[in-house]
Amino acid sequence: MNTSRPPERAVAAVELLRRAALETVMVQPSIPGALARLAATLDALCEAYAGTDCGELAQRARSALPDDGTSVTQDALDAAGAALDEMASRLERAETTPGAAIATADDLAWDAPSAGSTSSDTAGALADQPPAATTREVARDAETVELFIDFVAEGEDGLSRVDEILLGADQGSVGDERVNELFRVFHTIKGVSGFLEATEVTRLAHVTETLLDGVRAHRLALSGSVLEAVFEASACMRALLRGVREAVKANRSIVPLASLPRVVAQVERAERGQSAAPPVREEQAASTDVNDTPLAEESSKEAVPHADDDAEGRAPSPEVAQDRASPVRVRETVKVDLERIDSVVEMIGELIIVESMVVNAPEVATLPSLKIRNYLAQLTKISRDLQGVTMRMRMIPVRGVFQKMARLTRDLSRKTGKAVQFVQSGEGCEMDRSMVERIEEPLVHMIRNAMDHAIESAEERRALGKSEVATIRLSAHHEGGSIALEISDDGRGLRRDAILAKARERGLVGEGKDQLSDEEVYALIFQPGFSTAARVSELSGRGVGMDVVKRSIEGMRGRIVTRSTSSVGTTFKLVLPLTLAIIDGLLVSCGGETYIIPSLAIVESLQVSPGMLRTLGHRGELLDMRGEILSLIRLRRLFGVDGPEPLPEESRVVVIESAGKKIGLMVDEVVTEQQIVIKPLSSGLGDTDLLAGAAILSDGKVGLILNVDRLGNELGGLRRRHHEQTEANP
Amino acid sequence: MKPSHASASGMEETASKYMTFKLAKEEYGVEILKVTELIGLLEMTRVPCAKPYIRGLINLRGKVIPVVDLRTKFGMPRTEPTSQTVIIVVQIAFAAGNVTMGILVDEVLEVRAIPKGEIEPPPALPSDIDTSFIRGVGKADKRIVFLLDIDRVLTLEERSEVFSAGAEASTSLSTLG
Repeated sequence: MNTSRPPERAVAAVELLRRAALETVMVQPSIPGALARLAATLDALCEAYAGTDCGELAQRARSALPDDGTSVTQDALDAAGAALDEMASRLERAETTPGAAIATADDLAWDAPSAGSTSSDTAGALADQPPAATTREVARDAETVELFIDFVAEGEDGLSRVDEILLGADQGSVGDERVNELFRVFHTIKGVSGFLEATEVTRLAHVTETLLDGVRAHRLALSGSVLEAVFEASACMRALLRGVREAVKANRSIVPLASLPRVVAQVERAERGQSAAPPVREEQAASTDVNDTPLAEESSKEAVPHADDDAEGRAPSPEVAQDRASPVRVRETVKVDLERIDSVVEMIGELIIVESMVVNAPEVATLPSLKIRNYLAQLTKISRDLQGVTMRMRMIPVRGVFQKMARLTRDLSRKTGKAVQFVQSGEGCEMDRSMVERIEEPLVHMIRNAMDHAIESAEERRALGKSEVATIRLSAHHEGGSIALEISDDGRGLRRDAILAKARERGLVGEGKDQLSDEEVYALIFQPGFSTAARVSELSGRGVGMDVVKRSIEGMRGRIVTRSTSSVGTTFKLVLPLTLAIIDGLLVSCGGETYIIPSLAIVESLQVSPGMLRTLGHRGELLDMRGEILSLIRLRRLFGVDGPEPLPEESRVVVIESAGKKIGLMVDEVVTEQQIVIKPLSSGLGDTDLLAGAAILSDGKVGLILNVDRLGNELGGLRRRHHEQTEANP
Repeated sequence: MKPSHASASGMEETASKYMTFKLAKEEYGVEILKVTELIGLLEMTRVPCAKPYIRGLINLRGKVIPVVDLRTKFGMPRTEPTSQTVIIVVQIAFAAGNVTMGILVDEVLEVRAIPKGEIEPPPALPSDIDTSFIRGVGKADKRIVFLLDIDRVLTLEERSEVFSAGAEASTSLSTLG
């Protein structure tokens, strides 16, 4: 077994291991095929690190993952994730403490004695049961398919409500009305699934309904093992519904869910009032007292103090706890095919363009008639309003994603043994639905990081005089034309010195640079290859690369602002545009061609005097802007625009900021600034990396949008290309 | 001659309709079902660094679509557009879904119905054209129409790749003696 390896390799291995570990948290284990991504990451690890401990661990994990798409338990995945993380940590420590022997894969504990799981051998830990029967092809008529799809959609809506109520139950008690709602959701699912003969769904719905009936009748309390069981049932039901949708879409029979029997058993046990097998780690729910057994939890808010009479979660409570949650807001909604909405949005977009073309056409713009110009102004206003309304049709509140984070925090709190409460605000804020989907992964990364690094242990917090229960807060609000999402924790805060030291170690910061501002230091944590895991030796050191977060956010044209106070806490603010389809752009012209520079990237635009231009040997042209030296790129030369080049004095330079660098772009003319609708460029056009998309200009012609990020990243290559062009056309 | 796919009920083979057009001196055809419209030459926006056969982008009622110069794609010399030049807008199947593209042709002829019986498999000739783009050679009124597999024409990566594949095929054929 190798015990030493070059540092870069180890860093790369650590990143891959962390990513695989993260995927064990994020993957939905019960969906066939969902494990593919995890399998792919493990494959990459096996291949790259074959013959090392790391590779062997990955190999064992990979071979234990069922290939035929059957499910694995979350617990088994957790065990795998823990092993992968542990390997990553050991790799990191070995790197900084040379000579430390790296544990063989055997040392790492594979077994996860999970509730209901009978297998305990290492290879079997990842498989819940023998592989399920393969599916067969099933033809369903169109009407049946539609019934199924509707059923799944309604079911998922219902489960969202269920999760919301359950999370509320976790924080405090819930009233009768909400318990009734829980019951109704499962009752409805049971009924429709029975009609559709989705037997597994019916079975789970039935046992859960029975359990909730017990809660309704005040025979059981919605806490402890009962609450856990309903949580599990909800997650399992989601998986079942997804499986149904997949099967119906693929014209196949519905795959039996391997984890179903365990969940059903759990629900039944809770209903009978028996304890579930004790979970691996002690359960610590937010804002409730921790007892010795994980089961005898009574919410301190409930009226009856006889909590310890029954260790089983029964509540002989004569009083009904008040419904502390706010009344459910009833909002009328209609179900519309998403495709229809998208096509309406697209058509309105085209309407705006044509309207713009009409209004800006020279013949029309110079019409003397005041009445006509009035009408045109009205036309423009109504079109814009219409556009606003349709853009909003694609917006959904961030509530759904916040809820997932609430759930994640709860799960992580249990796993890490740290008491954390999750607070959210502004969940009604809306964002384009595609962005809501994309924001999920970065948020998961950040919450995981906060849980692992920022939040101190209970003793530490006590010693510092902080509340024992830590807080993670997620909020959303609108800011100008953007939406800002803030993730805060009241944990350790970012430690400037430690970060600087780590960055220096990783070679991310040059030696002489001491005058970095706080913001600049914090920005270092987003550099690839940075991980503060080895900084603290006691913790398990689960750090996930924040550079992935940064790339995701920048991919949505957003930015991250970091604020932190040592020992007090940290806040990450993600500023995102409301929609990805429209940007403010500056139109510039070169030769007869029009290009668009996203306004967000523009620092300033200036007139050029010959004295400002310098050439640095063969490194290309530079611009001296009031003492600041920037690289200069002549857009004409970069894009090979035909025609005679105007003199510098007759050109303008637009200074942009990209990848942390300022670059001057020389253009013939700055035309105007306007809002543009981004049209994607089809693939297969060629090497169009420097272009972010196309747009239709007000004169009907097509303009090309510059990919500013690419420009910054590829400055070196560009300089060369630019230089070649310059040499060729002196 | 029995057609390769006999229709289930044994009825007469129907003819497929093709939009025929001219490139240089040859006639070509594209399945009419793939053609969405014909438009006259529009102002095209050049795409820097694009492949040489991409003439540019056009605004088709609010949609931005690329225009492919088939002459360049087939290795023919580029010409200046004339009054006959037309853009045929087609919808083809790309990996990620359907894509709308325009193809620039010298002259549009007519829609012809060519019965399957009149279509022969592509000849393995070294010629100006790559035979992998061609589904078959149709005969209509004693004229030859090269029936294009427009999906392949527009989605195959580099002409050079196809060319080299074709060259390999012909050399291996020649080694067979």
